[in-house]
Amino acid sequence: MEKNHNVSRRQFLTYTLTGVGGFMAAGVVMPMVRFAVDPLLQADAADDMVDVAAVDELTEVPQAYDLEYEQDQGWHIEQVSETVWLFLEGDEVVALSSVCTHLGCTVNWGTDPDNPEQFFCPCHLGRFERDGNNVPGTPPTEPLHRYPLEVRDGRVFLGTNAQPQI
Amino acid sequence: MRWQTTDIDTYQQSQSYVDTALIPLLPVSLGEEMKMKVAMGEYISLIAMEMEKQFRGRMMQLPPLSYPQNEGVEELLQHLNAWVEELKANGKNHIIWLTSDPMWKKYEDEIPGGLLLWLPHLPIEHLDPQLRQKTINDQMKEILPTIMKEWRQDKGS
Ligand code: FES
Repeated sequence: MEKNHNVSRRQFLTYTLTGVGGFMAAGVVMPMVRFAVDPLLQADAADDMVDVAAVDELTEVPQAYDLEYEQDQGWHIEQVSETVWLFLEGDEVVALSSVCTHLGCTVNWGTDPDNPEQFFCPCHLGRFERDGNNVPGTPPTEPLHRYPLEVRDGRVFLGTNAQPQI
Repeated sequence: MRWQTTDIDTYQQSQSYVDTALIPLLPVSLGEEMKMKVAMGEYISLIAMEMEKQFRGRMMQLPPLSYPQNEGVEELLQHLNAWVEELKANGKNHIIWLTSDPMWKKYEDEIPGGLLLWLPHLPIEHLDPQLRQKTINDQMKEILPTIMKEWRQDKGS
């Protein structure tokens, strides 16, 4: 009875070696598949603008929106969510990154009671003007980054790469 | 900042700005309460990630401290004290213990080092991703003033 349940040494070796061999084969084949498919993926990535808001929801006062997209990290796909500050400057839409240019904390609009018309970073009290310019004398040394942006049919589309604005 | 090689260079260049450590406290049990404990751990880890994202320039997120559910409080407090010693010696004047474990509520005054951030566990694992994000965002809005208050207490630097 017991005998039937035991895996013999030979069987064991066969199983494991087949398993390991399979992995190794996959290791060789996968990159080849990847190289073959990659150009297709890249072409797709070119128009990676993401729909985040309707233009008519926006006001002169900056409001927070989520920019969500997937990022290929090579070994897994990461779900990224960034907070973006959107507002109107005249007729124009402006999209500022919420990442403090000092050490990367998240800035908020109007949360410093003494400076209600500025972006405020709670970490080291960094401040930015409405247009994103850093307030001299506070730790950040460059303005908030700006997202590339397009308005299509009344919707705001953002690129996923916020750019420095100097 | 995270406990990751990619973040450590930045950390070393700007150490004096990073005066806060975040440590999740996670109870573990494989018995009856296992499922509950797993969900709790997941929730706290999500919140820790979100806190790191918002406060990364001043906060170092350390690996969670996990303990078997039946471990004695005395030993745990001793362990926490050892942590506090190590962290304070390295300029972390604000230590934030993040947990949903009800046990800690009773020992709030004995917890060393700074702030016990106790959050009720919300079963967000059943929510769809959008609602989950919203729940976490709402939770973060409540956390922010608590952190600001902790930071306003000048603990020397
Ligand atoms: S990270 Fe914003 S002021 Fe330092």
